[in-house]
Amino acid sequence: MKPEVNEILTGVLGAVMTDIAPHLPGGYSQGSMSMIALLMIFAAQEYDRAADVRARENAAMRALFADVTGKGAGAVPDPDLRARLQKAANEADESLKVSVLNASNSTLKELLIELHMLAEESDAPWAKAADEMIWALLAEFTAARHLDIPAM
Amino acid sequence: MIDDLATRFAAYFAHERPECENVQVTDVMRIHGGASRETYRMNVTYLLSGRPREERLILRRDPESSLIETERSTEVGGLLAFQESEVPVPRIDFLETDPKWLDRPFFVMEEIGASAAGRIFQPDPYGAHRQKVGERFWKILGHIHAARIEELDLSCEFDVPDESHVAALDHWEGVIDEDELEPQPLVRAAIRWLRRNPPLPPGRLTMVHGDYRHGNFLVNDEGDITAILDWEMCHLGDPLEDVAWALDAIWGVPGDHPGSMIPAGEGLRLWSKVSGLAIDPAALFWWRVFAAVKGMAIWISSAREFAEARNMDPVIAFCGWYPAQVHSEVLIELMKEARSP
Repeated sequence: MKPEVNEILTGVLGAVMTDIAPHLPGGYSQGSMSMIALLMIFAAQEYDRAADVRARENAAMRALFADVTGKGAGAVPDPDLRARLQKAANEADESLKVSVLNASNSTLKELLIELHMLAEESDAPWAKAADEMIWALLAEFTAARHLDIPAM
Repeated sequence: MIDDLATRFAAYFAHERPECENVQVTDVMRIHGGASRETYRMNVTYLLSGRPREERLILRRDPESSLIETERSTEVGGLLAFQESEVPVPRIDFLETDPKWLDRPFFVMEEIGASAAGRIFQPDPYGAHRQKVGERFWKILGHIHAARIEELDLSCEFDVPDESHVAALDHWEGVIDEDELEPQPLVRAAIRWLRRNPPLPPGRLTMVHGDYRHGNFLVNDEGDITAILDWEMCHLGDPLEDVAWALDAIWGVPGDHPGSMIPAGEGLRLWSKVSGLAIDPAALFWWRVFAAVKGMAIWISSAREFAEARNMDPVIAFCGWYPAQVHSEVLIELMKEARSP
């Protein structure tokens, strides 16, 4: 589709800011329009990357789970959690629809939290390594969702 | 809707002030940014002993749903505690909980004239007055914390926490438990760190404003801070909670100038001098991590409000998205520091 959604949002934004907002009464209406403009800017940024961000996060968490559970029975001593991590590591996203990616993203993040808690409570070498890897992932995930805000 | 509000508030005003005749309410305008309450500016004219009078008032009405679920009595309680003090606050005129007047509870305070709040995204909101505003900002916070709670005129009951950091963390973790729409591995990890690394207790409990920051006070053209606003999260607790919140990077820290005012170190020295309180660096760091977690709790709540169509104000959608991202980035940096040897 041309123009792309992000192009439409940023294009329409110009009309909102120059043709519509100045004619609104001050106070609440203009403030709300500024918020709407910012949301359009963010939506434009998110449109292009939304599926990519989520698919990468899901793949990275599955790779972590595979790595941790692949170290043998010494790692993740809880058999139930280990089995669920292994199962999740072997799954794949069946669609790149954001709603589908979000659903598996939530499931994987629940597991990530459980794994992180376990790693924090253990002195074993695998746990320290897992803790480091999880923090590295959290930093990556956060950076990938960064939003640029223009000077207003 | 605005006309209806004017008519109904005029009736309320006349009822509360029977000595006033011919009460007229005009120029009602909703103000943007009161994310926790609907905020309106209005002009009230009346005759008192036959003489014409005029008052500019601010009305804060409970919304059907809000960013922060707070009791208006808490906000009014904070404002009343500092009337006629070193802490500039608006005069409170009415607190009404009976919904028969305006459908929902509300309170009314004087409008502080010729003043404005600094805008969050403005690169240099105080311009040539940044030094004066910054110094006053930190001194006023010092005055809030210098006040002995047993000497404050507290109109509403505030809980006295046994351990202020535990009470604060329990509260905001509870908000996250209740409102999160998706798992929060970063926030949960930060909360566990906070639990494992408790701060030293405060030297004494103080009134905590709860949202003391750039954007929540009014400044006039001379650079005087004319009012500290938004007391809806005030409570008794550790004063470092306010200090850390004011320092938070989300309010803009160009070159380590919180709120685009004066350098953090200078502000902290002024605060210590006025409050008479020392700062334990480890405790302050704990409260800075806490501030980001508390922020996340507020933004998570906001996201839920919007997602469930309980409040479709664009500012609620914005708060659920952008500040949550910023506070995630803040948390990553703070936790990097926390984990470094």
